[in-house]
Amino acid sequence: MVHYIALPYTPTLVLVLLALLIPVQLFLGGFESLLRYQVFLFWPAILVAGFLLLMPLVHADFGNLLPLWPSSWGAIMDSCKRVMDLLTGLLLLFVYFPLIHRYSQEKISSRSVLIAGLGVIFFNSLNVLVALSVLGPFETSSLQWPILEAIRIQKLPSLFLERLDLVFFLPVLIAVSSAVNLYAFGAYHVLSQYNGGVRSKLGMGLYFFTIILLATLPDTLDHILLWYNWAFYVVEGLSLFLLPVLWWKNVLFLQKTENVS
Amino acid sequence: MKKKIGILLICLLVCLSLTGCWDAVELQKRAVVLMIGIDQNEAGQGVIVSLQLARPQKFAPSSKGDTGSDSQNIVVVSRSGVEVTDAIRQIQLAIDRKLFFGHVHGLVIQESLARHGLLSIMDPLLQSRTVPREAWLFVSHHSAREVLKQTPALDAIPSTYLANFFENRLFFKRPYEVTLGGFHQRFATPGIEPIAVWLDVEDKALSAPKIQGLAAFLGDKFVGKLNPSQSLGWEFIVNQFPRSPLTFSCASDQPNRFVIDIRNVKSVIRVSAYQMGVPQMWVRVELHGYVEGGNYILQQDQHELQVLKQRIAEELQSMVQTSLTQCQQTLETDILGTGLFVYRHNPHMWHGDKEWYTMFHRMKTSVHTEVHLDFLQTYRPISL
Repeated sequence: MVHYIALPYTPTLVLVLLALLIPVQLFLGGFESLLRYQVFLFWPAILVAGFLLLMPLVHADFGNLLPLWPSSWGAIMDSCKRVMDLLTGLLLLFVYFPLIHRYSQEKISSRSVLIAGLGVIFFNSLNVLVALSVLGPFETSSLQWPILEAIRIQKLPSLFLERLDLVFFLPVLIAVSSAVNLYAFGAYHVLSQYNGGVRSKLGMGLYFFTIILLATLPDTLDHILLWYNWAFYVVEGLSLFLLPVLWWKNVLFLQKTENVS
Repeated sequence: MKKKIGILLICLLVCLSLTGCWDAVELQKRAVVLMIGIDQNEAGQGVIVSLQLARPQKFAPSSKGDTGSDSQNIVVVSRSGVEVTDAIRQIQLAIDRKLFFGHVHGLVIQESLARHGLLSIMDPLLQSRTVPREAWLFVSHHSAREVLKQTPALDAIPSTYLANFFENRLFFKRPYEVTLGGFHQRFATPGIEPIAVWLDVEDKALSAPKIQGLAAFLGDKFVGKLNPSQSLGWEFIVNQFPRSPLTFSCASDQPNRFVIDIRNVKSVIRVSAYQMGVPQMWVRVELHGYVEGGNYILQQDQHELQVLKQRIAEELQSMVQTSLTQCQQTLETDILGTGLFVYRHNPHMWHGDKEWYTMFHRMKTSVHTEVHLDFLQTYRPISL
């Protein structure tokens, strides 16, 4: 997206190195630094994104949302399968299942997760509404980045600001960097556990080295994605198989501790 | 202390790799493209691409009052090629500066080339983002190169002159529809055909190209134009008329005219169920405006207002009907979006563009106009 919207000639390695500068600073400060980064940038990102998403709706043609009733249910079912591939799929169960299971004990965090989930659904729905109502379903489905194009054609009065798609890119970057930081911290944390706290920098180095390798070695990411998809399905299948096993093991452990007490 | 110095050095090193400076190109090394023109090669094969390039040093006001060709603030370079990107490459090899397409405002295509189809021309330009989706699309009766050579007296930047017509909403309320993106959107959507702006004669007083109506397409092929009166009817039908004054004639056989400042035009299209395999189209146009003046207006009373309303309703009906006839019978292209209405509101009746066009030219139309007027003149009428 960076190459598409702003910097078509900047090498990917330079962009990756710049993107890694944020995790480098945050890892050394611990998980709290990560959270402070997220909290600090939350409201600016939300306000800018919200304003730029609501602006196109003023002149949008809501007739583009018609017909509301689908003409082909087969196409809808096929799209649902693709959505599962787009998101983390059934692995989301691992995230939500403990929260649902321990809802009575973890009410505050469960509520926060629920509000966050609703917020994500709201903004994604707003994205879809803006793209469909401004560009229409046929143009939207043919564009690579329809929401960027829908915002790019908007004009502020007296040309106060011209490249609104670049302004919209800022909250997108914040969201992407937040997600990257979380995944990176997870990987760093896991690697550090095996190396011990003293040699945690080795884990960080290993993580960065892997990222730089992935950014420099392959000509395209198509082969990497092909292997990643297969690995993902295998892990998903194994995890789903292990889920009832882990649950049963947990039940047995609780029974054992109750018997002991 | 050493740690602080180390951090400072790292920050300085990082600044050197800032992407804002990474692939910066000085203005003196750029050839800024303002407009692109594409003509058919006279030999019949390939195209001739003309680029209107800016001469930034000539945009600054000069105290000496330059005259002659050297005072022009643009230069037009043309080359032929097998297709558009090939011709652009030929132009790049012919000049010493790197072509920069970030300021392209418009794309002008010659009529004879547009008749063969625009998609093969536009597609490489859009895919590579050479021309932005929000650039205005023009079809010219004359050579596109001649259009690009004109330097309007009113604006230092020729491309801005044409772009201002749409950015100031002088012609259309929703000008996006005559951009490249709007063209592609209408092309991709069923039941509606693309349009572009039609450039014809040169306005010699302003030394600028003159907008003479709309260019209508069937698919991506140019099929004909709508003259200014027909274009006006189209604007009324599809809710594109901007807030602006408009003159109406007092009677069809009289030269006297009066002016109405049109505040708002609302129109509704309905396509009812097919009767005997023929769709019925009903158009209702509602106009709100103020009476501004004219030597025809002698009184400011309700009777006069009714007469004016009647006159406007008749002329409005005539304009709308003329536009409908031109689209339906002459050009046989649905640039009004009646097919799109059927697709949206009666999807079970929609069986594709091919089937729609077997019925479109036979579609029965009825037009109903409603006019709401009020007086808003500076002076009371003086009875002579």
